[in-house]
Amino acid sequence: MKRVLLLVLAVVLAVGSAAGAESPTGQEILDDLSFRTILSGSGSAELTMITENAKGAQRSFSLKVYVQMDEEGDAQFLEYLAPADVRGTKFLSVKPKDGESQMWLYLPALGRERRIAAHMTGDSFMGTDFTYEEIGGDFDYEEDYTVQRLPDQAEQGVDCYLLELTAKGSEALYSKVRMWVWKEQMVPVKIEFYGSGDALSKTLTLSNFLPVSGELIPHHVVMANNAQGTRTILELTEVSQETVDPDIFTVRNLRR
Amino acid sequence: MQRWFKLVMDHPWVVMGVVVLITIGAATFLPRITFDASIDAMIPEDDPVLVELMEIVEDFGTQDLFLVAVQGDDVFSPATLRKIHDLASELEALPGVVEVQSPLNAQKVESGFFGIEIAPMTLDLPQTPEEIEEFRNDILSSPYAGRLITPDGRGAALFLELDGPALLTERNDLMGQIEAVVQRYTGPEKIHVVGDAYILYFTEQIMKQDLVKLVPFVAVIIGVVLYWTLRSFLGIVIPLLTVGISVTWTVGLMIWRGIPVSIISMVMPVILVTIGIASSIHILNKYQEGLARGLAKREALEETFAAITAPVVMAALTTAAGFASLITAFVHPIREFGVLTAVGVMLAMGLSLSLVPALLVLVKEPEVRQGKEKAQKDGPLTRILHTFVHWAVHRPRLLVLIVTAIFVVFALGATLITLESNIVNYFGNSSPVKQATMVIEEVFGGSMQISVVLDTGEADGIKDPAVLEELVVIQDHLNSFDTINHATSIADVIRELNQALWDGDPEFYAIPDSNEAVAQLLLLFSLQGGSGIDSLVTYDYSRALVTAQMKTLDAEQMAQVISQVEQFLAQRYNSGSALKSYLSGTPKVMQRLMNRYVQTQISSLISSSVMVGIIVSALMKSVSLGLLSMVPLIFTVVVNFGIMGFAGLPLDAVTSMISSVSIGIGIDYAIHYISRYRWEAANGHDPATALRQTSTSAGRAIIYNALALVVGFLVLVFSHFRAIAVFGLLISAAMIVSSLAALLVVPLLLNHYAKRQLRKG
Repeated sequence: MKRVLLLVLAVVLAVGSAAGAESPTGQEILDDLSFRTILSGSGSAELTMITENAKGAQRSFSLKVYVQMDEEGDAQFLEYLAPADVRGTKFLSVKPKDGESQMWLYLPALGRERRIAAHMTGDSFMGTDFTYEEIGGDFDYEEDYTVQRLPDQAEQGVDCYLLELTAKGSEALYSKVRMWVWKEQMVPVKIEFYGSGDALSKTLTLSNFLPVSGELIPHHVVMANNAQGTRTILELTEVSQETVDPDIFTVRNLRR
Repeated sequence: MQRWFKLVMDHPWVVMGVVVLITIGAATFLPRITFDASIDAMIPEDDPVLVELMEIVEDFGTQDLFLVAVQGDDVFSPATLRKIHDLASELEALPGVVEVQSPLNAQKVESGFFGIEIAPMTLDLPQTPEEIEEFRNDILSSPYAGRLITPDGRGAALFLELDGPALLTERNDLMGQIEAVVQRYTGPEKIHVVGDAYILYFTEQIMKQDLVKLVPFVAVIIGVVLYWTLRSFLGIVIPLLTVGISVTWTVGLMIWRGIPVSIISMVMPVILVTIGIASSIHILNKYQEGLARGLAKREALEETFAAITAPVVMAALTTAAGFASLITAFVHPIREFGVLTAVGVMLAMGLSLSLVPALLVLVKEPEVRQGKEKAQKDGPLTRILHTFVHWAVHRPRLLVLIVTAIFVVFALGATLITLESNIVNYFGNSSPVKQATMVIEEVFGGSMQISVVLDTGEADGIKDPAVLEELVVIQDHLNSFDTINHATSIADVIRELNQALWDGDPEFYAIPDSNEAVAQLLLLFSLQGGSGIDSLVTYDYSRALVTAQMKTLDAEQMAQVISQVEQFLAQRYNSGSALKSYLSGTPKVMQRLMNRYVQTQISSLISSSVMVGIIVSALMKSVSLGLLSMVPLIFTVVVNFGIMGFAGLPLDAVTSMISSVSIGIGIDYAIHYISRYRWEAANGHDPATALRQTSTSAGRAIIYNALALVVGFLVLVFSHFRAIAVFGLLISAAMIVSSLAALLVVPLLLNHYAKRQLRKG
């Protein structure tokens, strides 16, 4: 789950001061948006996650998320706050550097924490419109795509650079990605993902940018699955880049 | 009327021109012909049963089962497993197929060393003996045993989920592709396809084959009959041309109105051709008779139409009324068929009175052969007909006794009648869809999906353990029937997850005791990428579905089981309960249809009798004669039901039309007989003599007419559909019975009636 946050923060916090050149190339723009995790060290946030099916029916969850990334590895801890029937459900994922990730789940109503098997990639994460890859942010634009700058466009009422990334080979998850980058702030406000046959597969929209520790973070993120007509909406609150107590990321803490 | 014929005969080319233009207009519609053989199409769209089903489809997705079953000596052999794997992936690659669930990829919930895992049954195709053994143990200990694979290893099933509501043509393209794929993988294993969409596709193919075969066939047969009766080239061409044009007009009208050909209306051309020639025969017969007497062409024509118009109109009106009475039917295509055929009959009549005279003016009169009449005078037929009258006049009591005895016996037989609404049973036992259905019902426990909705009326209501226990109760109740298998619901998913959470301990295959525990198990499920619960519970968890597979080949038993389940649900979730529950699915639609066949039967029987009775009474200007002419028909209807009862032929969408149709057509015999008798009586003959005269004149015509109809209707026996073949047989039998009844019962009644008149007066 940390990866939700990672992606959100990564995509969103990927700031970078505007390149000096008056008219930067696609590559230059992309370099400023490199998917280097800005959240070095630790951070936390509260978020509301709404999943919407094709008929517009919604399910809503509130979560508190803690993330820690350092030279020893990644760790996430996630606690459900709402709805009431899953309140207190906790999820821990620990991935040592170069090791297999391990996951635990604590279900308070059953008084039991259980290890759960790490999931295969390519599937929907938690029934959301994010896949594990998208959430994991193992999305190496540099390696898998060639970038091209298209004529500028306005998006969400702001002037944007428009980048088109085309897959180099069949390794890439998407055949094509289009990204609208807010010129003034150098943050993406919209990303379109195209699947086989260049059909629009998903659309990520980022808005409600607010400063956190001096950086702009979108607090409203929507991933729409164009093929299935479903959507996942993330609403961030209480975003913090304060260091998290390492004791949080322990199995012991699940039951606490 | 005479002015009309003068007009027609003076301007024959105008008439021809108009007819040709209309025919060309109608023919332009023919390429746009569409077919629809679906069960749903038989029920009015606003019928509550169909509305309920559509609601469930909206909430939970398709309720149609679509199965491809592989049958072999050992489906656990490496070669067959590979075949199942390849077949599944090839089917899944077809556009329109959303997902294929196979024994190899079915989702399992496991509690293993690495924790709880929700994953496909196999990740790599098992090929070594060890891998296969592990797979065998896995799947046979899962809920899929018996459903996706049989424990004896002789059958494996693939469940296909098809794309939402697709156009019929797209669906049929997909079915063609599935059929082609399946054919390539067949052998040595047998592969069967079962599913509403496939049956529909298959039915449509057979309908087309049938039409292409039966329509020319009936034209040839009727041509032979025409040659035999009229003995002239003209006598073949004119009647066939008339019915051909009336069929073209009627079919053009049908297509113009956007009505697809149904399994019922596909018999329309054969019926129209068969009954449509009668009026042309009468006209040509009379015309040739006039010419034989030495009349000039125009005189002979004028005399013919002066004499023949009234009976032709009368016959057409009563026949059309018989078909039109089907408008009271519940089954939608029966109504369409009834109205269209009635229109077709009237069109044929109109053509007989316009196109036929115009043609006869234009073509040279046929050469008339004479001297045939004499030979027939004392033939065996005459003797038989005279014997009938003899019985009626001299042995009335014996005749009444015999007729009553026959009536009673067949009436008893009618009580044995069974009902049928499963379209698969409209095919013969050797048909591939019937065979596939038999195999799948035998091996996998059912070929159709039955669904029970449990509605809590509030969001998250289903997460209540007490409600989940109710789902288990419903599942157990469904599974308690021999004809229902593999009932499943979200309660199974919860129980499996709970068991996995407690290290696979079978004791924990149970619903946990709090809403929270249920909600958290469901969270675990989605966190682990579990899928497939959208077809079991609504997004807001207010309603859940219990689905099961049902055997439907024995439609009566199926209907009975459905009633029992509905009773159970109604008692358990009565008005005092916060829960609501109802049953739906194709079997329910079939039960609805079946119950309505009886209603269709009764209402169309009553309305056709009333309509025909009124028409006949009006035309004969006598209510008592009108009622009298109904007697042979009532006898015919009862005998028909008796035959069906004794022979085990079910009442279905097709056979439920027989009584109305035979009333509409059979009334003609009585009308002819009574009219002729009145004419003879008016000419001063005593009743006995008048009856003798009538029996040889009208009686002979009645027998010829009936035989021509029987020959035409018997063409239907060559249909691929058992139901239509049965219809052909029964309607032929009804023609024989009603003509015999007219020849036996009507003289009896007329004689009795005459005596009473005598006593009175």
